Amino acid sequence: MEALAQLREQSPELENLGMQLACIVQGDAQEAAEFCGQYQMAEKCIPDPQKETYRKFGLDRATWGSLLFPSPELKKRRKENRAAGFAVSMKGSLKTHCDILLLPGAAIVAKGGKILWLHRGKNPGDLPAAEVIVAQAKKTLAR
Amino acid sequence: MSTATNAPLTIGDQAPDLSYLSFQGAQHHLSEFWADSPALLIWLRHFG
Repeated sequence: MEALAQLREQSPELENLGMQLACIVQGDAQEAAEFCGQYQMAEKCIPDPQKETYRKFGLDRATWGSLLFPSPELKKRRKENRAAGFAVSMKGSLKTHCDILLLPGAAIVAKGGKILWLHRGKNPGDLPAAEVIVAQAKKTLAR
Repeated sequence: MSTATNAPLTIGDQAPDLSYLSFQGAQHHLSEFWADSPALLIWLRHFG
């Protein structure tokens, strides 16, 4: 999961913007800590084993077809991940709290809780790169 | 969760909260992230 590594690299940019970063993962507290700890991001990871926020923010589920016959976007992301030394493990996919079909997402929330920007992944590879999200944050907060 | 609606969230809506246990075992709320500053939320699709 190179997304966490990318986000860690972008942490100083986010701090400059005065933003808090919360990475929501599907596991329980222990699983999230173990997984995110690999990227020194345990403090930034929020466990959501019941997938409450995924549902509340309207994140959809992919089809098996979209995983078995990946889009060019997902193929590219997988290739980039492998090249960077990251790979999705089957062991991780089979963990109790992992729903492999859940799609990714991102949101920028103003101080106080108003949603300013929301991205719901349309396919399994549809999570913008961290630097793209940070650029979006700069643009959104400048309005 | 504090929001009890099935309507999809959109820009301008209040972000729903989540109560969760941290890995240290303490009870927290997602809203703590946006209580004093803007927040970036990322939902990771995969888990390991």
